[in-house]
Amino acid sequence: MSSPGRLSDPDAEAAVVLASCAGGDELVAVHDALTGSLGTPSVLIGQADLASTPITLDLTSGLLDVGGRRVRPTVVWARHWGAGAIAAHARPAGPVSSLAAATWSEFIRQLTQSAAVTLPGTAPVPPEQLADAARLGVPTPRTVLTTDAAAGARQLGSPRVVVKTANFRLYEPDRQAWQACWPRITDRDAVTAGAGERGRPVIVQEYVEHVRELRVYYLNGAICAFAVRKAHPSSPWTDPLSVSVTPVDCPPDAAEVVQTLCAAWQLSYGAFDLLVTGAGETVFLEVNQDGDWLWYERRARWHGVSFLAAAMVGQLFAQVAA
Amino acid sequence: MTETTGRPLSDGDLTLVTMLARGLTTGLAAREMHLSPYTVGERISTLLMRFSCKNRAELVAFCYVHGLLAGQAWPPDQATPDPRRQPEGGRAVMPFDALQELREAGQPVDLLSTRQREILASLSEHEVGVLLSIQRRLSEVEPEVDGQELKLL
Repeated sequence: MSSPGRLSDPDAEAAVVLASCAGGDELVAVHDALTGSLGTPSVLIGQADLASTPITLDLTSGLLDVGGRRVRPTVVWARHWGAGAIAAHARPAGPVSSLAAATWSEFIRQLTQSAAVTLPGTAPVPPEQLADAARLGVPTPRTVLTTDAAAGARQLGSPRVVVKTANFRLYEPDRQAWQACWPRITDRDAVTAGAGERGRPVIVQEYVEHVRELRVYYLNGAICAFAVRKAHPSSPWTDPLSVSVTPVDCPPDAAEVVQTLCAAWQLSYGAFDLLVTGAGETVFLEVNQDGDWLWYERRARWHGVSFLAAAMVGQLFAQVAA
Repeated sequence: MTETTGRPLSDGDLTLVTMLARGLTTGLAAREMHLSPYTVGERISTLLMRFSCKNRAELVAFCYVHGLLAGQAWPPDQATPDPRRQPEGGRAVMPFDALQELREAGQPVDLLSTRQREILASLSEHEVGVLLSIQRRLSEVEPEVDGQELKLL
């Protein structure tokens, strides 16, 4: 969080700036709620704008000009703005050079620096999250990173393991290539390198027997949870209609895990994947600070996360403006 | 597997399906049953799965056709108060309650911070209507369509 303290253009309107460089329309829904209902000035920078809209950030004044509209960014929420995501998911679809992706990523980083409040905060990358969470006393599955999945599985000693590639959707634009990255559960002794795994490290993780899988959203203090039932870890991509998503009350133990980790990582927003064991223990798998929610909402036919997100941003803006 | 015979509905599920037949939202049904909207939503999802129904309308129709829901469950008994209906001129005598309106529409108002609730409480009826219309628009995108879109999850 930083304070701009630069108001060289008193006429520039204070505004929320929502920048969505890849992924779904989550921030479109927030923008619509802010401008259509909550009366909060909001500027939306979508994927297509990166290629087509004149955008200028004045580093001296901190003012932002988007297509001729000049605003003072007060709250900035940027999603999927890493260079890899920008390059892989450009809209309109087409090749984006490494240079263009890197300069856009740096632009968005500078934009976040110009605001009094930035969302969502920065969590460690997924494998590092596990070590960090374990240090904080949160149960996590044993995990190795390896270029030899079979050796990794033997090292874990668990009878069943999960082999997966973190964030493959962000960096791999070719959806046909996703198949090689889909997470899979397998017996330890049956683990072999997948076709797409040779020559790069994968995550091999102890399979945790569980009675419930949760997707939990944290929004600046508010917590809401969905129970997720799916036949396979890859079902959201291979057979999305078979995935059952139901809004549920977040179990207190899971809420405590989420609060602990968000406080440690100074996250204002996070999408958590958790398991609940038969003994009632909550096991942390991963948090994605850019995690999508519309897909889960649509499966559940309940749009509480969009509602909470708009309320969160509206309140942060009002707080700063006051 | 679709269940068409066998176990009747429990009293609680029968009450819930009757309310759905009368057009109550999840929020309103939750309030009537003194349960959280999540719990009611979960019950509805369980019933949808149990009878392999795609939505509430199909669930209600299924329950009628298979005799799980008595014919007199709809139209509602005039003597039974409908929580959606205010007394005559109710809007005139009852001030607009934005939070209650949002709550009844199934929004998780009670998860908001005090400050967030204060902001939403100040919304006009029109502004709440706009907010709920955005929510409805999100709902209108079928999961089947969304499943074809890029999702990073």
